[in-house]
Amino acid sequence: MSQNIEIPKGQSFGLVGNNGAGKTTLFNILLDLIRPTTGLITNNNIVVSQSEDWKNFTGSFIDESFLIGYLTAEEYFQFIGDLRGMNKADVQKFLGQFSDFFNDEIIGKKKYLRDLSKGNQKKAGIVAALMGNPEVVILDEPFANLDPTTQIRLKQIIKNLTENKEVTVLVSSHDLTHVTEVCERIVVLDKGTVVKDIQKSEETLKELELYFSV
Amino acid sequence: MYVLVGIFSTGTFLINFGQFIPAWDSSYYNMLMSQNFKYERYLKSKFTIMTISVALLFVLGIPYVYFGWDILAVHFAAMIYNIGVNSHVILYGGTFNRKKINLDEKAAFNFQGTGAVQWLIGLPLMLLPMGIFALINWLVNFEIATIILGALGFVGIALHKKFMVAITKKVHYKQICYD
Repeated sequence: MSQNIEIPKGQSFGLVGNNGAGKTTLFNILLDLIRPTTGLITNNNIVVSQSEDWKNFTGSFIDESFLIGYLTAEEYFQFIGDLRGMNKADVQKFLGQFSDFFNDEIIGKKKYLRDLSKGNQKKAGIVAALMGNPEVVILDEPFANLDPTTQIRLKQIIKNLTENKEVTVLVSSHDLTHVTEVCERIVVLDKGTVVKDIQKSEETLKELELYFSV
Repeated sequence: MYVLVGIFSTGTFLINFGQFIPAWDSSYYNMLMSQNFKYERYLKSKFTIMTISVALLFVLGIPYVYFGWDILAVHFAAMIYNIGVNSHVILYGGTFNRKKINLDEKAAFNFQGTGAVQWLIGLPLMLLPMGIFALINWLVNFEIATIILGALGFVGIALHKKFMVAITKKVHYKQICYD
């Protein structure tokens, strides 16, 4: 069966589905970490498995393997910032915007990333994915493990990102409320196939809840 | 036997470090692969570290000259061979190593990532130059054998760009992933 999903620039795109639906797999294929047996993905007209040019405008955070455990948060941000063409001052300025989001738990703690809690690791990873003004941001289950306050702040960050329709954000989540709140379009996956593709409206949340209820 | 010592003394770091590329970065490999740089640059950085280490170890090994100029000459040829040939062979060989290395674990008696491949890769690295050297030493003489060994290294350095492109293609096609 052939299926085609096209995500226009500037859309906030949500992916939901039960475990094993293929959300993370889809994101991994998007980042060329898994090669598909059939089909292909183009990111801004670049076939991801053939060229590496998509790497300079794509920021992503999938799981802990995107963090370097033996670095402190500052060192890690410095490293990523360096790869993204930011100097020390740029990184400082960039991190300044997120002081609320970090809630004083990440910067200046002299702690290695591996010693941070799951939630704090996730915060560091999400912020690193946003470094260097990416045009495409891919976040796999960004809301999991976060405390309620941070979840609300993260929703605001994602909304701000897509406000100007410049940045495309792809989010997967198990939390239907969050996903309907931040995304304008929601795709439901089941065992690797698209079962629903909805533009957000008033009834979206109900529709999704109905679909997932047993 | 001079060659074995030469390859070893200038290439200890090369062999130890090189055989675990890219396994050193296995715990955050996915992130590196989706970051803003090309795979060739990643391999290139590893190659640079190995080249510097080989040159440095040669300099540290200069006191061997106490045992005769011929030893220093062989060491120099071995250094060139290590940079030109062995570094590329080991970068290629490392791509067969798919075992994870977790750098957060203790260092003593840590055998992470070692396997049969590590022993097999050692053969071409050391036996090949030894064989070539012994053969020419037996057929012609010591000086020519040393020069040939060094010349092979220079050929490798001259073809560096081509090797890197080939290895990048090979690795990128194989697409190592650690799960």
